Amino acid sequence: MAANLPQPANTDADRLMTLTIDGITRRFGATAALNGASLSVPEGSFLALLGPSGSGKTTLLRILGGLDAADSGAVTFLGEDWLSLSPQQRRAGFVFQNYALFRHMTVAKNVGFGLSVRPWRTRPSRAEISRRVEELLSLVQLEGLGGRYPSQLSGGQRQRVALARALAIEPRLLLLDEPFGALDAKVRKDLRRWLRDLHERTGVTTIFVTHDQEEALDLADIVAVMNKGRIEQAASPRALFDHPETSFVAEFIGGAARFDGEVRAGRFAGGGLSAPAEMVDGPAAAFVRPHDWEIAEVGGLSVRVLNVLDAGPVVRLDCRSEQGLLLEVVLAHGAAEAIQRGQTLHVAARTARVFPR
Amino acid sequence: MTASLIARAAFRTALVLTGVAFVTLVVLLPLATVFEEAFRKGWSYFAEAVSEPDAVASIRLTLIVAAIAVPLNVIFGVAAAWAIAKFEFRGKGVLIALIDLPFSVSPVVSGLIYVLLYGAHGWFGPELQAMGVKVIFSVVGIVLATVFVTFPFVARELIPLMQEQGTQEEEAAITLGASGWRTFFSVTLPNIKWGLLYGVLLCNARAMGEFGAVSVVSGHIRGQTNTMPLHVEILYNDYDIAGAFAVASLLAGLALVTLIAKLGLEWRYGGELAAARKH
Repeated sequence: MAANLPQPANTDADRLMTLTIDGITRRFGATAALNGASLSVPEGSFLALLGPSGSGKTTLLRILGGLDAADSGAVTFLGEDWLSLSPQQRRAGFVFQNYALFRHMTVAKNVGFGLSVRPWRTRPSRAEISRRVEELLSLVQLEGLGGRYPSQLSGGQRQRVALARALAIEPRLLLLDEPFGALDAKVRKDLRRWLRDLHERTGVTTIFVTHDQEEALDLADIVAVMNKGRIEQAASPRALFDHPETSFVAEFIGGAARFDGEVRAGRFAGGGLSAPAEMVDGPAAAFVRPHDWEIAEVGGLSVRVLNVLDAGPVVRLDCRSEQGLLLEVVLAHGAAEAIQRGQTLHVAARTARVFPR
Repeated sequence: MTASLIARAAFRTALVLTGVAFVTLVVLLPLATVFEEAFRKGWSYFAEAVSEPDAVASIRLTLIVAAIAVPLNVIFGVAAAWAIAKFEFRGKGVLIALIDLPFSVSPVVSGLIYVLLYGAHGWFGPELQAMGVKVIFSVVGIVLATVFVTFPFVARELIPLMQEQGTQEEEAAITLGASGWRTFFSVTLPNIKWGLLYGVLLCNARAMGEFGAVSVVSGHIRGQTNTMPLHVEILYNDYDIAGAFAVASLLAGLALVTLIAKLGLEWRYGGELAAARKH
């Protein structure tokens, strides 16, 4: 997936084919929701904006959709100065977190809304609109429900109506705000797969906001990790996992434990952890993922086992180090036999990612 | 059944009876008296009283005033509610307080303000007189006073309703390519129509029944600047009790129609209106 890593747009042709977000800032009173967010992805990407709540991801999505204005910065998409276009000119399909279906309209009217409000010269005939609506309803597997009202549908059905309504305008950009947030696990899985298929068929550049990293890593070609109004790193899920570029990404992705300490002469020490580090001396933080621990033969970090979850091919241990740090240790089934709750264990990190503090 | 349960049941019955007695005494009895007095001298006298030229003129004026004031306040009310519910801006609190002002000021004071501003000796009176515009003691003044007094009804009804509904549906319409006007007429208006109708009913009832403010600016010119409530007072002062009650019964009838329409709306669209009543 390394080919999907964002590349700087060098030629005009590249620039035409790229969504470039450049230094977007947006303040609400004293707080900066976006603080110089920059990103560049190829057209046709399936992009996830991933981050904790308050990281600015929804604000960025709303700015792209024309529902909010940036204080400064620029967006170029399809060769146009995107932010200078009105929401109507952008033709960006937006799927809201709570769907925002028109409650007084039937499902069919909801889906057809974007077509029926076109200026009369480009508006399809009534018969054409109802044909398109039928087509879209069958695309989202809601045939025959066109006469219902939103209040008569389940959450998953409403979600699909919202998608069909956004797709009706033949969007140049599809924006989804926490698209699966309000759905139960089973429906969420199904809809995820369906959305992935849809993207493959239509090829529309799609951006969705989520705080669920499993969802982001599972669904997107490119995941942009956001923190405090900035994009920390945008990369393929694999690259993000294997090569986190900032300490925030290292901690956020994969549930890593954080050790604060210092690097001296190529070695990190802190919180009872010692690990090699290729960086200049100074204060640093080391991150170790649950899967990157092994039982230490000699030395290692001394931890107390608080809980043992032995199910499936791995054993999950909730542990606390002598320094009081809580961490999760995942061991292969064979390596963790006979580990008891309350026992003291010595573990060593196979891989520790060290970043300056 | 224990003693305490019996005591509670007795208490409940006593409470209900007190309530019924109070409502009968204060509301039902006077209302019944209006109709009883109106028909005391028989149907023919009633018909004569309400079809006599001054009465007809007052009915016509009342309808004209309501026909101007209510649409104006629908426009003002929707605009104000839209601004307050859907946008953040400086001075919002002041605007909300201003909308409530007509409720907190005595109607007589409202009328006097207009006399002070537009009367012959008022701030703008001489200029207006020079232009040949007469506000006080004319239909214009009556309409102005009525608009002022009935201003809060539509806005107050819509603000909580629109706040509850939020702005997401409008935002969805905008991203789907709808213009601002289109969004208002296709999305916003249908969502508030029952609350709006409710507000219009209340506004209309008050516009037709307003006495205090209108009394101050009208000048009580029979057949010209008398609305129905003013006409009732004049007849009453002339000791034409049956005539006064005959015209009053028309106003009371309007109140009953409003009440029934209101109940009908509440019964049919209770959920949507509950959002408004919560506040």
